[in-house]
Amino acid sequence: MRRTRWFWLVLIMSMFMLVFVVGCGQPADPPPEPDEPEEEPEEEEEEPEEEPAEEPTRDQIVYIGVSSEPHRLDPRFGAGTVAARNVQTLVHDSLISWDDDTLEIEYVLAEEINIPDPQTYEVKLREGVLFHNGEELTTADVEYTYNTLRDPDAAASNFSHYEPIEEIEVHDDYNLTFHLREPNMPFLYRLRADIVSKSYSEEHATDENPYGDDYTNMNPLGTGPFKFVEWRTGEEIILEAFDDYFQGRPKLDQVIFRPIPDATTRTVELQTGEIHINEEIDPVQVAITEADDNVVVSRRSQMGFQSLGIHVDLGEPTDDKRVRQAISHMMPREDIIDFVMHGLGEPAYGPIPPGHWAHEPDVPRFEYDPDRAQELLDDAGYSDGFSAELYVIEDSVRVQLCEIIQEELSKFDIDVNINVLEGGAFWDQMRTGESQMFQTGWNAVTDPDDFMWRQFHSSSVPPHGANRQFYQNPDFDAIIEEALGETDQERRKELYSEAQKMVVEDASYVFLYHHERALGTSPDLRDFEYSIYFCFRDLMDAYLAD
Amino acid sequence: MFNYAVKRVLQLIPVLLLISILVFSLVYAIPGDPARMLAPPDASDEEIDRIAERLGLHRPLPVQYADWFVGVLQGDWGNSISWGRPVLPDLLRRLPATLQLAALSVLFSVGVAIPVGVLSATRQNSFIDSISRVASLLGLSMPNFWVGMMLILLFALHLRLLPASGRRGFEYLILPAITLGTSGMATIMRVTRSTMLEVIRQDYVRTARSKGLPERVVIYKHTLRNALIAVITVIGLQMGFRLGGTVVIERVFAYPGLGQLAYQGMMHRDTPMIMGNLMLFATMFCLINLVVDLIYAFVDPRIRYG
Repeated sequence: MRRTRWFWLVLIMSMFMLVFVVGCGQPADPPPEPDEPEEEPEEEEEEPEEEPAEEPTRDQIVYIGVSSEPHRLDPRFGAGTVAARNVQTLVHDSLISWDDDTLEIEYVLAEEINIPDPQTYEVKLREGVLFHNGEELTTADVEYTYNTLRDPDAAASNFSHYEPIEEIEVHDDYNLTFHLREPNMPFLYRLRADIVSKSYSEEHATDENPYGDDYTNMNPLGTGPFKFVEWRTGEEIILEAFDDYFQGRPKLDQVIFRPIPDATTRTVELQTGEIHINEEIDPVQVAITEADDNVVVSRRSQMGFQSLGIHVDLGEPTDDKRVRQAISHMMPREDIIDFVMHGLGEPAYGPIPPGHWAHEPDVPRFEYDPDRAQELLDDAGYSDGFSAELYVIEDSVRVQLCEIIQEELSKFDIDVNINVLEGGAFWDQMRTGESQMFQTGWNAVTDPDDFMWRQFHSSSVPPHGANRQFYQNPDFDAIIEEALGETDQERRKELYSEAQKMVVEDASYVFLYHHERALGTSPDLRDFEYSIYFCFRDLMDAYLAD
Repeated sequence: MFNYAVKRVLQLIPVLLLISILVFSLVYAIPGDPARMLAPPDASDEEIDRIAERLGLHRPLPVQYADWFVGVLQGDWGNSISWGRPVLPDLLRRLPATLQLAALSVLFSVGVAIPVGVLSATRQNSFIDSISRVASLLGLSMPNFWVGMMLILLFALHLRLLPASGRRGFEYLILPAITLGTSGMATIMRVTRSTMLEVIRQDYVRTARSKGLPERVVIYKHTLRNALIAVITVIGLQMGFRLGGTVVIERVFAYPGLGQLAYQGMMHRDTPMIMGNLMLFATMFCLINLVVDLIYAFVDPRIRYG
């Protein structure tokens, strides 16, 4: 009797454990995609040796630790996040690309682009470019890609960027023309959309899924230097060199993305050589990481800014320009950068970062000057201060930044109440258009029109755009409207200089700093530079040294 | 016994139904619009509305729930909002990873806690007892993500003994399992010690001793077996909590399990993903409780299920 009871107990327990241990035997392999020519990566390649530097002939496999995993890899639908762009910029090519520092246009799939007038963009394609499935790229693919992007029903990423297209006229296999509704110079930068294969997408399209993206989001196919091999969600995304790449086969054999959400873990993985690139080093860890010989830390300007937005049309006291300028004078920008960003940034006095062709250094500088701030407040009649609501997205760096702002403003008896909102709730609050103060920023500025229009033009007040401070200035509007269609680059630069001065003077945004991103790489990784706009694209020329 | 088990499994149905309704409404009550999260930050209202429409998010809540519920009955757990593909295959593919991690962490905490607990009870107020009491206090008070980070720094960075993240073999499980098991270990250790101390003072233990039984038999046969009921209850509860703990731990160790999916689902207001995760977690929680109840009957002959 007793013996049988124990027998049963052991039996149940072992069945129970068996259920658990079943997992051990399955290294979670997804079923191979039927249409994808799959090459099983070899076991030994998957696990880098403990000391890869000691190997005489090493595998050319680069592991990249990324902070988040992408959701949709088809560039028509997933271009909204850095996580997806990381992969897309390697798997796909676009018509053009540009230099990170000068923003000078470089042709990729385009052989030539003519702009006879700012409403007409004539594109000649490079011949003999192959997709990863061996088919040749033609204008049909370009037309198809851009037609999806501008199709309202497709709800593709960045629809508004392609809305200005009136018609795409295909002349032959290698020539096509974009006709725009209105003169639009910034459209040149829109030609950076990654091109997908028409036949491949249509092959996987169904009645419910007319763009085929249910399939292509998981199995992207492009003309880029690396082809997509396998995506084991939560573990890795494996890309492999494309032998027939039109600019020559990359030196690397494989690029493998590993999502590692925790910043500390990512740093440790780079220090121990498990990954070769750490996409983003937390500002707090930059100093420690720099001290490690196994890591090369490089800093890139994010080509953007962080700012404090102030509603100009929500009654007293922030409707008074002097009050807003006073707040700008209260900001100890250098200290903020040291404290919040651990030095990763430089003070911002205007929207366009230094280095950008449209950067205007000669804007009114509201430098840290408490006396001047008090003077302005006295002039405006707020010597005794006031109280204000400040909204910020839930993020430790941003919240810290706001606490400093709160502290500095309190010295002038301005009582700031910080509302920390989680991502979705924050944007909902922004859409109401009734936020007295808010902390936001902007990354990867391309054409100045990009954010000047969306953030400061009268037509962009919520819910239509991002002018959440309700800045409405007819003079400013006129300038950027003119700049939109101006073909002469020098004249455009002048117009945007003018616009920048106005925006700074009116202080609906208090510009705080141009932030930088710290990236960690292994010293063995050569000839690689990260791009704010094109992520890891430079890996097509990189290699691992012995 | 068999009937009892069947009855308990059937009871799962109303529980899951209630949980699903509750959670479904809760997700919608949280501020934040999933369509907005798919759009670029500066997207206009029209763009967001179009995305919402394509995802079917513009329909009234009860309709969306009914749609989801009918789908689940047919084996279609819906498409993830953020990933745009069916939820169920992803969940099932990640399930073994999480189960494996939870099982190993339980093995670790039970394997350490019971012997130490027994030792500490039999040598009350000794040096070992003090150490184990301090250890369990520490284990309970340290947040587990912090423990995880410290273990990574020690074993992965400084000693270079174990990998810090991923899941490519058994060695990748060790650090996350220990991290996940620490607080459970502390709890089980404390419960083992205190129930052992209680039982040790019982008359029948004194009888056993006075009739000359060796101390080993007294402890393992008479004391421990009687203390086990309480310990098993705690272990069962701990296993349930362990599943929740994976949400944090899997992120720290970049471990590809259910917890990370749950986290991402929540961050994106991805209702089908959250629902799928929750249904799995709830089912497992209930099943673990059932197994614990069944084990009682084996450990303690006085307990019988009709």
